[in-house]
Amino acid sequence: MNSEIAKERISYVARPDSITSSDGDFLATHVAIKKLKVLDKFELAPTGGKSHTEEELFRDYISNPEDKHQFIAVYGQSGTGKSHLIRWFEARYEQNKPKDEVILFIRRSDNTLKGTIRQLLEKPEVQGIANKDVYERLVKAAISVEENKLKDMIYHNFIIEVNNDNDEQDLKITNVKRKRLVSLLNNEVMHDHLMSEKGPIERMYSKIAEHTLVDRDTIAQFQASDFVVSSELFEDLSSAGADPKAEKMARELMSDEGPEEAKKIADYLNQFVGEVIQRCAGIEPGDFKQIFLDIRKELYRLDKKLTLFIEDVTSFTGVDTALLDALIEEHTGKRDGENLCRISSIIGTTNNYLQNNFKDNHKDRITKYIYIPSDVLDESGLYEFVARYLNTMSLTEESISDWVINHANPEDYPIHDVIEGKKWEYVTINNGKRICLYPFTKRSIVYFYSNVLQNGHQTPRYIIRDIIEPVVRDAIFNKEHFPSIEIVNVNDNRILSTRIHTQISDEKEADRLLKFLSIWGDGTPNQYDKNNEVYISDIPRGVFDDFSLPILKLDIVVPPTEGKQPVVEQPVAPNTIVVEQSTDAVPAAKIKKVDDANKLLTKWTNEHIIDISATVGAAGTIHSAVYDEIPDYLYTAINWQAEGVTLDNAKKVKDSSLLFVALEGQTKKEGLYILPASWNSINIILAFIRWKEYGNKSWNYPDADFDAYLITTWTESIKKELVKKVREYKPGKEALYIEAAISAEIYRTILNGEFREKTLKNFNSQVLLASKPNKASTNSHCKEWNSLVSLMGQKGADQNNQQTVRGYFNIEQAGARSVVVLDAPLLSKVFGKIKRNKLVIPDEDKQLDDKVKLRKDAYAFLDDIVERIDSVAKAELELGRDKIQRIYDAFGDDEVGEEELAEFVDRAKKFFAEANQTQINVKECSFDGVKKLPQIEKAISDIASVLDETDPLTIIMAFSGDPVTVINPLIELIDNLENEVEKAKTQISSKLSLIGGDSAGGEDSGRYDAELKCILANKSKLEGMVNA
Amino acid sequence: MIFEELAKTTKDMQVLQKKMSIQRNRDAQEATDAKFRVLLSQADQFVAAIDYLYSNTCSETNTEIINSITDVLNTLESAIDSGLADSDTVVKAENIYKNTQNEMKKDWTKKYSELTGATVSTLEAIKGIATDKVDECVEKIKTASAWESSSQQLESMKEGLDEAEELILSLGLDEEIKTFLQNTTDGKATLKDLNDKVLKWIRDEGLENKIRISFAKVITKL
Repeated sequence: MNSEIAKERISYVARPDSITSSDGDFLATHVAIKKLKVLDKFELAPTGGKSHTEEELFRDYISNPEDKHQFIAVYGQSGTGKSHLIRWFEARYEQNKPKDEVILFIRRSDNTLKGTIRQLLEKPEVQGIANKDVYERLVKAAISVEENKLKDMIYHNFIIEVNNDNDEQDLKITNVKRKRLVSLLNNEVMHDHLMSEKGPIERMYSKIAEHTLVDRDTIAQFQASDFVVSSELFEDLSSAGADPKAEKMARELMSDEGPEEAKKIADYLNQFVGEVIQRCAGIEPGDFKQIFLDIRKELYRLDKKLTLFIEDVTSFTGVDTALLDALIEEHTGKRDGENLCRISSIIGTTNNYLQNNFKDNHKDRITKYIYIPSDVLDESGLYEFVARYLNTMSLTEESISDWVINHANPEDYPIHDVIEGKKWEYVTINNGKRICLYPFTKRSIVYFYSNVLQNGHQTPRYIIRDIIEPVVRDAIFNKEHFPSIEIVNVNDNRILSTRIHTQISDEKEADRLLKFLSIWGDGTPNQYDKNNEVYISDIPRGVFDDFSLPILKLDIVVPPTEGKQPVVEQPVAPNTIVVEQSTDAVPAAKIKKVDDANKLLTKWTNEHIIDISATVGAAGTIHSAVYDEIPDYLYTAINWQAEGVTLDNAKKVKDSSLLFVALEGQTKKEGLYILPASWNSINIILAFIRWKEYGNKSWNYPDADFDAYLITTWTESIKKELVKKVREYKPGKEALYIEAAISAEIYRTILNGEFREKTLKNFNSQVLLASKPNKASTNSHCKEWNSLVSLMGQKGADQNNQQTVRGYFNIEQAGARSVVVLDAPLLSKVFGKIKRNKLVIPDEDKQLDDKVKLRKDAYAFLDDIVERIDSVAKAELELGRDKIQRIYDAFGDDEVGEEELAEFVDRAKKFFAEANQTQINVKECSFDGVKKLPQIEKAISDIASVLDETDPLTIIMAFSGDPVTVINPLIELIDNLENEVEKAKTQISSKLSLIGGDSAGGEDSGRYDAELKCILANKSKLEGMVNA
Repeated sequence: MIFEELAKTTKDMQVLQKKMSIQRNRDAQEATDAKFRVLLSQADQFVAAIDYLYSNTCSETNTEIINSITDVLNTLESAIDSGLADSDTVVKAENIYKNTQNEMKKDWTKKYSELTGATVSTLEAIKGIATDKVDECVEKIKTASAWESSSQQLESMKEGLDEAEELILSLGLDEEIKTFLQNTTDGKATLKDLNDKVLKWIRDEGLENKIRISFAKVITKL
């Protein structure tokens, strides 16, 4: 490499598009292709058959030894070098062409329709053709139509074409379907869909409009996917009020047969693409063909013959049919009474375009097919390809020009003077010439080819763009940090990594060296002496000096025997990962993931700060390790119970935002144990990452034993400190959240009516741990009571707390997880303390600032209760007082026992019976709610017992059984009775007045007084008569 | 206090029920009451009449009648014993009263004759002497000829009798003539009583054609 020259030349030489480089550079970088196939009939991806060199093909076909009409198609996947080959054919033919041969080479650099025609008209050979001025006016008339208008023109021209289809096309659809299609295309939603950024109209627009950024692989056509109607699209269509015909077609395209139907529609419409594009570009369909015929006539007139090289026929979208028609027309016939010159056409195209866009009659008229396979370069070809580019960019333009001027003979091929990289590998090309591979090693070229190039990109274009250009630029412009470009390291050897990091303190340098040894070398922690040269990871020591790479000592091994080359010997196949531990089969993506994480961690050790809040990328990989893998591992690896920490506590810490282990300088989240920003920490974290990524959370991956060793020894080393921090809420203060949890749980059971006794005396551990949910769906507690219960249930706080209480004292038995053993002594101790303190935890003992949220939650939960319990008790007591007073008032006594209740019910029943007899209209009350008089008596007694009480716990316990609900039916009966009695009284009074009121009954006493007096007087008289 | 209210209202309803029952039977009761009162009024007049009779005339007290009318009064008393006049009892009293009245009427016919016969005969005898006055007396006496349970009737009768006695006395008749007239009125006069003085007075007064002779019939008093 001559970097001084290369710095200037790299931009000119390393161009992925062969057409854009100069002839000299093109020839100097050209590597003979040896695996070309020649076919008589089209095959999409031919296998087998004889391989030909480009030279053979040139000799047998391109040079047209028989001087006949021919039409040769060169095809292959995008980037395989079709353009390169066609250009080489053109250049080769230019040097040896007969005198009467005119060569037209159509590039695709100006990839629009008009651009293509312009290229044709610029050829000196056609300057004298007929109608030239007309054609020039045609192509110079700039399309001034604005973008949206032009796109709409394209779109509506398709509708016009479909509307006016007279079944003259090859592909036909029924009249009904055609009408539906027109309706669908006329629909606004469908219009917007097809006009979208990645839609077909945009693709076609790029072929018409000038000055657009053109993707050279774009084919201006409809695709089946354009017409697949998703349910969302259908809904939009439908809700926008689509025409029934449009809706029918949309429904058809949405059905199971949708994709098939969509393809039919796309194929059908594609028939009109050429015509539509031409019309929108302002060119009549016949124009293009006419231009070609005029060119041929002119050449015939000049007694010339035409050889046409077209780099890429896809650039002729819109006129491709016309062009092909012009090309296949043989000179033996006559056109318009004029003779045409002979034409030999060599056109480049992609597999798909050839398969789908060439009509069968065109395919039949193709004389030969030349197929370029994707893996056109074998291993030595690959080396030579890279070497020629390296050589060309190290040579001045003049030296290349001189060589070209002198017919570019291979034997005269210039080789640059090696300034940098004398000790690097060389590649031998024809005639024994050797080219220095600096800054590549063969191993690195293979590595890049196999691991950096994506599937389908292992073609010359991408070798230049993704390998040669970036690596050379890195080497010449960023020498002191070479290799600095991002490369997936699939050769990650931990032992080598350990060796490097133990010997090199500078993390960046260590990382650079690891990358170099892993990709440029064999990635092993080995070194050996051979021919008085030390080889480190199979790279000669001298090479290290060129990039000031640090030298380190590795494990000395026996040098490899002759014949066993450190590089792969097999031809490179796409997607083959070439790593030394080929049997280990760790996917490259995963290796890259670990490598990226390693880089970020290395940065961390330098900067002592790291942001791993993201969940994607390298930060995401480390995030996962720190947030998930490490806590998961430590939680399961440490025998917490044996260390005196309940599993509940350990789990709460694990599940909290507080990490078991955080990184030093971690921007978000705290940890109990801080992992220092050191190389050793990196190894630990990477071991966890590998455990997850390589082993899918197992130790089943290469060198896992080393990682397992690292992790287990590290765990032991931090265990004591970690356990202490888990056990304690603050240094020296044990986490006592269980006390708060139990207090709160007792409150909960009381408030929920699960424990209904008046004292805590019988609140034993069975009550605490058993689940006897109160099934009552309604209650008569005061608003404050229910608000508190509701508050306790928010976000499952009550259940979480209950779970804490139930799980805290469990002792898990190894291997018998279903058997729960209770830590009864601990339970008894804690429970006894809480009961003695009547559920009170002094403020100073509350651990409300516990960083472990799940532990703090217990205190917060208890606080929520305690803060409200006084007002709840007061409100409940007031409610109870009101209710019971109502009863007292009704009975006129504050001693209401079962006897009084029974009497009351009896009186009420008599009242209704009498009302019935007296025909007083009252509504008979139900006595169902007062059937269980002892319960009512107890409820009254419960409330009465705390009427003068001030202790909230005593009060809520008295009300735990919801006595108000029990007495409510009685109060309801009282209310109803009062109403009915009032009604009865009114009716009685009314009836009495109707029947004469008091007089009716008042006369009873003296009704016959006078009469009786009279009787008595007479009787007295009579007695007197008798006695007289 | 609903506990007490229930009991009180229940009682009120019971009263109301009774009153309603009364209300329902009021018309019938009033008829009964009316009947009761009429009957009592009749009984009262009856008692008043017999009281006058036994007190102011020489009529003998008829115990049976007294007992009978006492029975009526007792029955009427029991009819209102319940507070309301009992229809059946009133009817029963009415029947007793009717019987009593009938008995009384029978008894009266006899008693009237006894009380007024002699006087009326005498008055007939002396009618020619003082016609107007005799007629007036006879008229008053005859007021009570039929028993009407009326004190006024009896008072009128007594007044007639008294006036008749006074009239006879005022004629200055000899004692023997008065005896004769008396015996004649009583149907006890015999030919022996026709002494000279008497015959003379008959002839003088031209009463020959007005005196009839008949054979006396011996009546044995039971």
